[in-house]
This record gives sequence, structure tokens and C-alpha cells, in this order.
Amino acid sequence: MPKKEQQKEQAFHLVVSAGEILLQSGAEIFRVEGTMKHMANSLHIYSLETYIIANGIFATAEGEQDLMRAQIKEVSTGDTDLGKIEAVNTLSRDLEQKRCTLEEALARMEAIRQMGDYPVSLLIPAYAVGAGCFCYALCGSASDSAAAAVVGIFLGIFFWLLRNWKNAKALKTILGSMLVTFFSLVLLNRHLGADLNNIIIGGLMPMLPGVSFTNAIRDFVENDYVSGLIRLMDVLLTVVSMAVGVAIIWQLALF
Amino acid sequence: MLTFALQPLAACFGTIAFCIFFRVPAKYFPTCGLIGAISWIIYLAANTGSAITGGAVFCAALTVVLLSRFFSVRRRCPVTIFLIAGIFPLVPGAGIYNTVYAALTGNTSLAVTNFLAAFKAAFAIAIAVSIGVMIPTKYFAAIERRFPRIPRKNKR
Repeated sequence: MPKKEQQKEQAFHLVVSAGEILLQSGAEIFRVEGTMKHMANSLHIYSLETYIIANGIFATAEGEQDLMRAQIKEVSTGDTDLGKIEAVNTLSRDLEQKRCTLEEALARMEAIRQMGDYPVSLLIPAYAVGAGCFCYALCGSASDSAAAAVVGIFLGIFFWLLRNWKNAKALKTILGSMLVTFFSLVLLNRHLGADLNNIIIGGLMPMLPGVSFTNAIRDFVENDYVSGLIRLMDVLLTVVSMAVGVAIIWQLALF
Repeated sequence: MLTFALQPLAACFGTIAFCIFFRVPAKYFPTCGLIGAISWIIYLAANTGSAITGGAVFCAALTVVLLSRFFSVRRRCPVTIFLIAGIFPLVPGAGIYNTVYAALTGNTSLAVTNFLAAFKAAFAIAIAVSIGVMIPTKYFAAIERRFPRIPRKNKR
């Protein structure tokens, strides 16, 4: 293959993987589309056409006379990762301002793909702080918040243990909210916290589908109705799962 | 009074904790915390009744969107980072829980009331985000230019 052809190939590959990473990390549809177009322009692919929905990318690029490249990419939604979105955004900006070459960009994209989680030693305290602080902010007393923080630690450990269950989001949410309700009841029995409802609400906070909800709205605003609906269904599923989890433990407790 | 001062602080730290779940780069933590705290102050100030009211959520959500737009121009990063962190506390999680609780204890009318309140809050967020996102970026850029930049040590 001539060198120029090969470069075009690599450039196209770079553009599609940028879209894939963005979509996987929970970016809005118009951002994925916009970033792909921007990157294609800065890499001298001027005829990129994309069609993007919440779980897939279709992209074609035309050559001088005929279709040059076409790619369909199935994208499974991963965990929200705003760090990756920011990194791809910076990369696209650098490409546009000619601050990095194609080879550098390919290497950076691979590095972005490998970007990991915060360490577990930070993640589990974050669950505790998130649950405790929002319990307090939502008018819980100090002892309620302490109880919610303890529940948050349990929830964090639980989700960390189940971190490899990629396709069982609903089940994870049901089990998680069961765990929150159960430990709230236990802690109340041990006289930590005063208002059960406040503790449970605090404990449920880390599971709320805030990201999908915000993204669904933004998709609707940008007329991406299909993707908006997909994300709204995700919100509904999560909310119903949370409700089911709480309800199961409540029913058992009321016995 | 002390509670009223401490609650926004709690919202600030809670927002930063959520930033860790969403893997926001650490350099944006202070800004996200600030947005969370300000939105909570607005929410508390606008929320006069005890129930979650749509109006208070709307005011708070609009504040979050406008601040997020401003900071995204200033820090040159996607608005999503600040928006998601700021909106998160306003998502009616408590309302959903109260609905389930009322439905389980057999209080159907209270369940419906709670559901409607939660729906109203969600709708208020939707409207506020739609409005805030549609304002063209040039206005935020114009406002941003009026604020002096704090010089940073490590310039990229």
C-alpha cells in the first residue's frame, strides 16, 4: 500500500476510535459527531459522513472517485468516564491546532483507551462521602449522615466486588438498593441514625441515574430523539430497579 | 442557621465524591464542588415549602447550567464535566424513594403525590438544561473575557 493511502487509513481509524471512546464514556451524540468531524477535517478527510446512535457508529469516508472507507462500530455503553471525554477533546483540539502529528495522536488515543479508574482506596471513601454528604444536604441529621456514610462504604465494597459484572446493570442496582435498605435497618437497630428514610435516601444517592438523565435531555435538545429515548429507558430501568430493591427488603422487614 | 451554612458545604463535598465515580480529572474537582455548593444554596433559598417544588429545582438547575457553560469556556473543556456533577444532586432520588415507600405502606394517594413531585422536578431540570444549553457560546465567551484570569504555575 502506498504511504499516503496507509496514512488515510490510519487517520480514519483514529477518527472512528475517537467516536467509540466518546460514546462509550457517556458523551452526548452531537459531541461525538462534532468531534469526529473536527478530527477528520484536521486530518484532511473532508468527506466524512457519520450516523450515530447511543449504541453504534456508522461512518464512511469518500475518496477521489469512490467510497474509500466505511465502518460500522457496535458500541456497548461502559461506565461514565468524563476523564476520557476531556482527554479526547484535548486531543482533537491539539490536532486542529497542529500541535501533534498523526503518529503521536494514535499513540495518545491508545493511552486514552487504557486510562483506568481511580484507585479503590479512593473509590470506597468516595461512596461514603457521597452518601453521607448528600444525606446531610437533604436535611438529614448528623447521625443519619454518619449512618448513610457507613451504608455507602458497604455499597462501595459491594460494587467493587461486582466490578466485572458488565452486563448486569439492573441486577446490580436491585442488589445494591437491597443492600442499602438492609444495612440501614440494621444500623437503625444498632441506634446509629434516627430517621430510616433519610439514611436510605443518602445510601441510594450513588446509584441515581443522573448521568443518563442529563445526557438524555441534552440528546433531546439536539434533536437526537432516538438516542434520547434509549438513554431515558436506561433511566427508567435504573429507577424501577432501585424501587424493586427497596421494596423487596421493606416487604421482608414488614413481616 | 448552622445547618443552613453546613448543607451547601456537604453538597460541595458530595459533588466532589461523585466526580470520583465519574472519573473527572482531579484538576476540575474544586470547580465542580463550587458549582454543587452554589446550586444547593439556590435550591435551599428558593425552596420555601417542605416538599420538593419544581420551581426551586428549576432555579438551581438553571444556575448549574449557566455556571457550567461559563466554566467550560474558561477552562476549555467539555461542558458535560461540570453539568453532570452539578445536576446530580438535583435528580429527584428522594422523591422516587418516597413514592415507593408510600406505595408499599398502602398510601396510594401519597404515592401519587410523591410521584408527581418527582416527575415535576425531573421536568424542571429538563427545561432548565434545554434553555441553558441553547444560549450561544459567544455570550459566555464575552462574559468570560471580563473576568481576569488567575495566572497558573504550570502552563501547558
